[in-house]
Amino acid sequence: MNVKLGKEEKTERTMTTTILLLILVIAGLLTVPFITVGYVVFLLNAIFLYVILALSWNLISGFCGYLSFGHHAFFGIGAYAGALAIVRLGLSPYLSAILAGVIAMLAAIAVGFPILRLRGAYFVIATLCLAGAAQTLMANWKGLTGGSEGLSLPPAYNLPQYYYSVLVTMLVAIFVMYKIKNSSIGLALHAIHEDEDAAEACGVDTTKWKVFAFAVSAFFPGVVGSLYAWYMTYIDPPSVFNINILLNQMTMALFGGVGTVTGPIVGAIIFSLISEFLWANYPTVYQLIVGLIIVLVVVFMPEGLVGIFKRIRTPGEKVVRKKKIFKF
Amino acid sequence: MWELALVDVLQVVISGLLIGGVYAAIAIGLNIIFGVMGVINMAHGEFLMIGSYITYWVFILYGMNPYLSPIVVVPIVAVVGLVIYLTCVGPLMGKGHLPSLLSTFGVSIVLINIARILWTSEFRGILVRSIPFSCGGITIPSTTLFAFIAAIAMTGALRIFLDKTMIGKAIRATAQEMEGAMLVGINSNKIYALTFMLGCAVAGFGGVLISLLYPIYPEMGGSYTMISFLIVIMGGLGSLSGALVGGFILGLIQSFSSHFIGVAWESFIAFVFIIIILLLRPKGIIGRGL
Repeated sequence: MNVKLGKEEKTERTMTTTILLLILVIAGLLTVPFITVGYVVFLLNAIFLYVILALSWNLISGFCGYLSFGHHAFFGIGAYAGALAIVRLGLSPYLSAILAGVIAMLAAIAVGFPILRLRGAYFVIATLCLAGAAQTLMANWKGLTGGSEGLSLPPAYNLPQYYYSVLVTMLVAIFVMYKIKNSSIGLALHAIHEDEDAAEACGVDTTKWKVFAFAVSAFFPGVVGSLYAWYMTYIDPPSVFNINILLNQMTMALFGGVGTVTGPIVGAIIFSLISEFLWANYPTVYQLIVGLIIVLVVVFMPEGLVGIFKRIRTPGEKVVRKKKIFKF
Repeated sequence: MWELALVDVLQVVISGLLIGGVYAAIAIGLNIIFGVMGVINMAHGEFLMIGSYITYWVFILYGMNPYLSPIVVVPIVAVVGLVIYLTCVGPLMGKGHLPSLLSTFGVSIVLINIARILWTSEFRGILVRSIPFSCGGITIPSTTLFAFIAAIAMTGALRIFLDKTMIGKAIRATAQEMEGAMLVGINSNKIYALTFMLGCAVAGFGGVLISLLYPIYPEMGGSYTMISFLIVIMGGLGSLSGALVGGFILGLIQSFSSHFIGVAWESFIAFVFIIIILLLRPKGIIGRGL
């Protein structure tokens, strides 16, 4: 009894410290634009952007085990939807960001119902093709998108506004992912990841939760895509349907640890700093190193940084190395 | 008037079939690796790219006839494949499809960037004098015809290798029943390494053929990986004869859509087609079996 109480007290105390720490970090991040409007804000922005993207990719690929190779398409769709809402409909950037997120989500629901029936490698190929199809559609649908000439938006160089909107999106995304992970939905997704047929037999509505996860994982990239378009004031198909976006979000999630909430966040922060350093000093070998990191992570540390950290922290406990990180 | 349209259509059909045969040969490399090992080699197109570059360099530096270059290209690409297998694919065997898929995806990025650093992003091409054959208004460039014949010959040779030789039989046995094959004394690790080398060698051979027809640049591989996927999906993962049929269908679709709809929409149609095929027949049109 006493032991139990002690444990509860302890968890309560750690909870309060975590919440305090979180508030401190958020307050710190909120004040950054007041202190400096320069490189630091820019770097933080990139980190926030990738935290959102890595978390989104992780929701469908890490939680569900459905490896999406077309997630950069949702960023692109969001960018185009947001840009068109601003240019054609004259909506405010925030409203168009939410609209873009909803459109990306609707696109995910529309393609999700058919393609989420495919499993393993077949799903990977289908998502890869969908992203390619979306990009060619945007590049060729000249009446709507201006084709490969791109789309120009009214100039709105306002770094603090952009910073705050991405920050808020990131906090919402982290909150949503955390809530999903620690709810019955998270359990359902985990069951789908482990054994979909068994989950279905146990009464989990697998189609519903898969499409739900896919839709949520498309919403956030849509929002940040729109914000990105608004900030950059010019988009064209190669820049917003860039395969590098997919590469980065995937590498970050893998690097940090797939299937967790902290993993992609840690991965995004560390990897953003690494890639910033590489871009600044060795731009020619940047992609080469990204590719190498993917190979090394998959071969040597499939649980990512978070998994390694866990193993170091609990040396007595024998951490059973997961045989299958990805389902098939 | 009608006669002209008929000749036009015939021309499109023939060029579609010719290029389709080449695509089919390329896809067999991907297919054999999947059929035996259950590995989806995302770096397939990059092995092809390496093959093309080697063909280009032995042609430029040593004046080697591109028609003879498979003698050099195939062993080199096979050795590269062996190195990749030992470092990036072998340790992941038996862990499901997706880890090796991710790992080979990383390999493809590494190979593209090595090519960029070594040879720049410049478009290169081999200028082989192509003598067009004309017959009743239909013209066939000799390079395309040669590539087609070589592709079909390679497919046939591979078929005979798999059916008649001991190693080929061991590969097929491993594909059908890995544990059973181990019971009768087949070393599955060796077979896997050999299969991966074989698949990469096929890609390298495809690279020689492609270098005769299309420009060479570091990012060229991606589209051939996609094409191979498409063919393999149509023919069924693991099926060799299915790949040939899939290749012909794809070649026809490609030549018809680029001739009648426009080159810009060609890839869009291909992508949508893959998705439709995947949804309708997830096991492929023809079925499976090596």
